[in-house]
Parts: sequence; C-alpha cells; structure tokens
Amino acid sequence: MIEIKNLGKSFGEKQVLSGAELRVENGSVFGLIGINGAGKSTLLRLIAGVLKPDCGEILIDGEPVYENENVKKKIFFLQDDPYYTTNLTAKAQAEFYKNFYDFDNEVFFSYADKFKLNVSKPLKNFSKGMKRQTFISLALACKPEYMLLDEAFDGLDPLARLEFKRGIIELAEKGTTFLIASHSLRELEDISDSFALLDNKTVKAYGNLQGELAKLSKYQLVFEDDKLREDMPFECLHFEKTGRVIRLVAKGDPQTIRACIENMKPLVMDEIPMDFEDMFIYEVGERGYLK
Amino acid sequence: MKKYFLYYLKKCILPFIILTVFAIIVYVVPIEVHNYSGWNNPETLPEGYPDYLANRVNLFYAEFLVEAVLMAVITPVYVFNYKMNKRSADMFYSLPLSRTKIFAVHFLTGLLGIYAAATVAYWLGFAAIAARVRRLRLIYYLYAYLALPVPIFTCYSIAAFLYTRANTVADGVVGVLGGFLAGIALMYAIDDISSVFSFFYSFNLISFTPFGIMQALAPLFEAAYLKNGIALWSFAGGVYPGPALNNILILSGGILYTLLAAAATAYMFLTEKNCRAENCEQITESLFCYKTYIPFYLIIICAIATIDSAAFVCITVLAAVVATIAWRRTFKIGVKYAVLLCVYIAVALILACVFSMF
Repeated sequence: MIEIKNLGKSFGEKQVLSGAELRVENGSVFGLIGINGAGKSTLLRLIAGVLKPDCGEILIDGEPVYENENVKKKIFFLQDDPYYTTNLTAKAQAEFYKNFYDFDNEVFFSYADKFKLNVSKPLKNFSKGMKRQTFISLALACKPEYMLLDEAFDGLDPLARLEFKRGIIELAEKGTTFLIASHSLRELEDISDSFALLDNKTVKAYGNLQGELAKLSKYQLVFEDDKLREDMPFECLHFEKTGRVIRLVAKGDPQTIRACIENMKPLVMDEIPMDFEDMFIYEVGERGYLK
Repeated sequence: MKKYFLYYLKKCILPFIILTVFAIIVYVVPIEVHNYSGWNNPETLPEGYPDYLANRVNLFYAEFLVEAVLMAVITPVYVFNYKMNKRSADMFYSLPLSRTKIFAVHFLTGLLGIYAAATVAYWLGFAAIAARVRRLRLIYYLYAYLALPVPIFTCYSIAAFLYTRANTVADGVVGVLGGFLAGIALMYAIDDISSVFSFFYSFNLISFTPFGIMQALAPLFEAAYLKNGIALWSFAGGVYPGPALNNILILSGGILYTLLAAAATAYMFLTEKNCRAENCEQITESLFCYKTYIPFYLIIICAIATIDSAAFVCITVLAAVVATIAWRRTFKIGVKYAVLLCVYIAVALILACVFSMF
C-alpha cells in the first residue's frame, strides 16, 4: 500500500505540492489526473524516490521510500521520456535492468513480439511510440509490485494501447499496483478502479472512480419558465444555458437530484451518462482553469 | 552493487580503450619521436645538465602530467554524466540502488579506467625509453609506477568534485578547468605583484595544481632509489639549495592537493545521499563555478595586467560579461547580476590601476 501524508515539495520558491494526502490500495489501478503543471510527475518522482520530500512522508508497505533499496526494489518508475544512451538497443537496456530487478526475459520478448519491436536495433532509431512500447515491455518484464507510469499512453497507437491495457489488467489481477499519470482519461477510465485529482498543489479528490462518477449527474433540461443556476436546489458543478435549453452537472445523491428536478416539472429531461473526462472537465473547469 | 559494478565496468571498456589510445598518443609518441643521440653519451649531455642527473630516470614526466590531467578532466564528464541530465537522473535515482552506491560504482570505474589507461601508456613509454636510452636508471620506473595512484587519485577526485558541483555538462567542465587553474592564477598574481617566489630556483606554476605532486615524485623517487647517492643529497638541498626549495614547494603543494582530494572524496560520498535530482540542468549556483570564478579570474587577471595593456583588460572584462551570460543562459541577466558584474569590474580596474603604479 502507498500512503502519502502531508506531502510538500517545492522547487526553489515555487511550491508544487503542499499538504497532499493519498492512499493507494494494493492491486489497484490508480489514475492520477490533473492539469498541466498540477504536480503529477512530481508526485510520481517523489513516490519513486527520485526526489526527497520537503515535508510529510511517503510510505510503501509502511516504510519510507527515499534511499530505501528494499522498498525501491518493489517499484518501477517509467518516466514520460525515458532515458537511454546513444546506440543502446532494447536488448542492452534489458541487460541494464537485470542488474536491479528480477527480470523476466520471457515477458520482455513476448511483449516485444506483440509490439513487433526489433530488440537489436538502437533505440534512437525508434519512433516515439516504439520507444514507449520498448519501455513498457521492459517495465512489465521487471515485474515490480508497484508500477509508476508517467504519461503512460503517450505516443501509443490504439492497438498498442489495447495491448498495454491488457498487460496492466493482467498484472493488476496478480497483485501489481499501478499508479498512472495521464491525460488520456478515456484510457484511464477503462482500467482504473481509483483515481486522484491533483489541483492547486494538493490532492483535491481521490477515491473509487465509479463511486465518484456515481455522485455526478448530467442533465439536459428545458423548462417552461426561465431558470437560473440559483434556482437549482442542489450543488451545480456546471450550468450552461442556451436559449431555454439548460445543460447542467450536479453533485450529490443521484436519486435526490433526479427527484428535485422532477419537482421543478421540466418540459424535457434527459439524463446523459457521465464519464471520467466529463468529471475532470467539470471539477477542474469550475475552478477557473482556462477561463 | 557488485553486479552493477561489473556491468558498468564492462560497459566502459570501449571508452577506456579510447582513453588508452589517447594516453598512448600523448605519452608514447613524443618518446618515440624524441632525438636521444646525446643522452647515451655522458660527454654529450645537454649543456648545463648537472652530472648527477646523468642518472636521471624519467625524461618525459611533463608529457605524463599533461596526459594525467586531461584524463582526469575527461573521465568525470563521462562517468558522472548521469547526474547532469534530468532524464538520466530520474532513471538512476529511481533504481533500487542508493545514490551513494551508484556514485561509488561510477567513481571507482572512472578511477580504474584512468589507472588502466595510464598503466598501458606508462609501460609502453618505459619500453620505448628502455629500447633507446642506455644511461637511465630503468628500475626507477617501477617505483614511480607504484606511486602513480596518488597523483591519479588527486587529479581525478578534485576533477570529480568540481564537476559534480555543477548542474550541466558545460558548467561542470568550466568548474573543473576553473578549479584546476585557480592555484596557478593566484600564485602567478602574487608572484607578479610581490616577486615573493623569486628566490626559488625555478618558480614552477605546476606545483600549484592538483597534479603538481607528480613533479615532486620524479626527484623524490630518484633520491629514494639512489639512497647513498648524490641525488638524495641534492633533493635535500646538499648540492643546490634552489632545486631543494623548489622540490619542497612542489611537494608541499602536492601534499596539500592530495589532502584536499581526500577531503573532497569524503565529502562527495557523505553527501551523495542528499543529491537533489531537481537541480539537474538548472542554473549552477555552486561556489565552484561561475559564481566564484567570474570575480576571481576577473580581478586576478586585471590585477596582473598593467593599465598600459588596456586591450588585455578590455578582453578580460568582455570575457566576464560573456561568462555571466553563459552562466545565466540569457542576455537579460537581471539587475542583481548586472550590478554584481559592475562591482567586480570596478574592483578589477581599480586594482589594475593601483598595481600599474608600482
């Protein structure tokens, strides 16, 4: 289990994280979302032991991670732009990881095969997506207990994404915990069971993805008379009016919200399914981002 | 750690072969092309060469010095490259091996690489000399070789320390070069101003560098080897007080730098666990780089230049401006650094004027 308590980190005078609290259960696929610069990569680098927290603590299975070899043996951190030396091949990179992890050659070559990668070719000659596929193959072959993936789906084509998601689910079923920072919310929604939203230097919301999604309801309504946001007897995350058509996202118990709307006797009432991307847009959008 | 050490050592074989080739070119080639006609005949020794030095053992220490220094500067750039790049630092620091152990592996590999390259070049050089010169005390080479780890460790450790204080490769190279030349610059300026070293037999700037001890090793080992011979006597000042003072000066400088190297190594190992990955590729704020070197060299160079050489002073001032721009990586260096630069330039010019009066 990953536990983050009152975590703070700043770069010079710029505070990136402050008072962040988080708990990631074992075997979960945890999506880390947030706008650019929210601190997702910083949080992953802190959990990976790359950075030292200014305050607070990060515990993995009850032990601090920074400079702790025993804990770091359980972690694999895949950066958004992984490092490799000039002329290094995927095979040579695998040799490198064998020094540190219980590397499974079979897993590596099976994924390299699935992705149709030439493991004897220098990585510098690979496209961005192929490099990503190589490092995903390497990461999965290291069989860590905790996999930290930064911009996990970046550069992958739809088929590779599918294969990768299958790999994640397969490993998660065996007990591997995934912490994935990504802007591909639709991909995250497919595989994540939990999520955390980073905003304003801290973890604004986290928990079970389906549970959180169930707290939000999206409606398209038409009323006979003019209705304003203030007329809605529930918390509105988003309220948009075009003529007499109102589109709103409400937060709270779905049954109560539905009953409230029905009491207002709308002429038209359509409930639209919410997805992860909607949730992100409305949660973050309401804070004034990009306004 | 052992597994990674062996892996990294293997990975470094090719760079070390290149380093060895470089060492051979710098050391052995000059030996091969040298004209030895006079050295085999005591009657035709170079003019002014003291007789006791007919037993002189190593004619090519200067070349070996150049080689050792270059290797000590080049090798840290290669082995500590992982600390200078954000992507590589992220990867290395996330591995299940502590920062100190990773540092130790790279540090030791670099040291071994230099030693291996120097060994090959040294013994090839020995073979070349032995084949050409009859009068030299060839056993000396064994003693000198056994002492080789000291100057190599000194040069390499100081270079590694200076290099790893910086946040980028370029800043690291500036840090090493600036640090290596700082002793020479300071002593040269002091000597230029006060002539304090004029009583020495031959004032040797090399003694104020991290590799200065190598200069002392030749006469010292020669003396040790000859034991009851005149060389020991001469080293101690029995024949010419001048060279003895010079030797003592060189040896003191060498010992000082060796102690500094030991302290620097201890410091690097003790503080490595707190190495901040977020500093990679950022502007270097270390005292062992631009922050200190700009005012230091500006003032030192202007102080030793007389006001008559206005062009020299102008070039130095211009170099300081360029260095500040390189340091801040922008032409808009900001008010703080512009003011600091003006203060440094003013102090340097005042000193140049003051010293030009004497």
